[in-house]
Amino acid sequence: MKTDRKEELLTRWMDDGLSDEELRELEPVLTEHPELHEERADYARLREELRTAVSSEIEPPFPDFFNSHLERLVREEGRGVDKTRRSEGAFNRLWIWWMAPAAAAAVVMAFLLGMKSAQPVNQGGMVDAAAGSGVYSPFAEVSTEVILDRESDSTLLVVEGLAPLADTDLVVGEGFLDGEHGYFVKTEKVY
Amino acid sequence: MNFFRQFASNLVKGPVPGDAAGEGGPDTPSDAELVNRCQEGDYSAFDALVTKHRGRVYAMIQNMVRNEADSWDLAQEVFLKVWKALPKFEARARFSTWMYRITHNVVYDWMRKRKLETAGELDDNLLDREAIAAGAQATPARMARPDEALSQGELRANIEGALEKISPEHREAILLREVQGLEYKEIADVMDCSIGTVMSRLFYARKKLQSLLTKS
Repeated sequence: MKTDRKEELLTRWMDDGLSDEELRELEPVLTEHPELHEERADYARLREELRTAVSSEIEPPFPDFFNSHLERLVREEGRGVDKTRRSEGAFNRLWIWWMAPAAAAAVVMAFLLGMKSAQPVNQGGMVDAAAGSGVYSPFAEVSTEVILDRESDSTLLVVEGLAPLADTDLVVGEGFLDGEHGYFVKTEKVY
Repeated sequence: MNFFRQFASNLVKGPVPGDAAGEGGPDTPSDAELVNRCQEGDYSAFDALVTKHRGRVYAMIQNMVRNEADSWDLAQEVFLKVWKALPKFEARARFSTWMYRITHNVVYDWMRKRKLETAGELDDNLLDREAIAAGAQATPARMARPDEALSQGELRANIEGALEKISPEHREAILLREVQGLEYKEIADVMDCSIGTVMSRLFYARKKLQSLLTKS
């Protein structure tokens, strides 16, 4: 029997996939090499172990972000946008693995620090920027600015350089933490 | 903290259920239906296809390249290529087989590029277990008992070690056949070779795996 044919028959024999006729064709080989029966039983066990140890499905990390990032790539592709950013592998990986949680952290820190310093307890009303409000951002490419407006009695915190956020991503609350007044940002689903 | 809680929750939830044949359940549209809608420009259908198949594509890539971050990037590349090629997709092959074919091309392009970058030298990163990302191992669908976890961990380490030692062609043939459950003809389509070559690769890959695991 030719080697190719023997390999094919043995492979399919291991998978219980031989017809009666093919089994008869392989019989002389099995008679000559009785150890093949033991190999077959061993491989059946190995196959089960393989299926136990190696998953056929693994969710990628950040699965929702996986889809939204892909959608962004598809839309950029449709618009013919230059995707040089994608080819910058190291930056891309940093963006994926660090930017998402860091962006959330930056937003939280920005709101908490900015608002706490901008609107101290019991002070009432707004203070102006000269009062020393500051915002911390861990990234040079993320810029932050606190804009205080007495006339409209409002404070605007501008954070630039983050991925676009949906309105529903941020739920801002107000209250006290450890006796200090502050504003809170819900970071669930912030990527 | 919430971000990590949600991340952990996503890991625990595991992959979206789906059968290899791509047939939808009572409430799930089949691959063919989703592909038709994609070809009419319905992005939500493509999003559903991605959600349905990303676990298999990512697992296949992860098991081939052994690096979580590269696997994530490559899986994105696979689906981007799928989207671009969908208008030309004809239902002669199963969508999943066609998708594995694209996955195969993306992974082998990446391997060729890595080989060129290392000037033909053996890329230690592909073999160095220390270089494998912390979360690289498969996510269990349920929590194992401590004694089970130990034994499964050892088993997984042995099998992953053996898979890393065989050639990419042999590893891919084993993964497609034993893990992903493809037929010989489908493996031949994915790997762009004859059924005879598939048989030969499976024959030698199995022998090599048995030999390596017996030694370990």
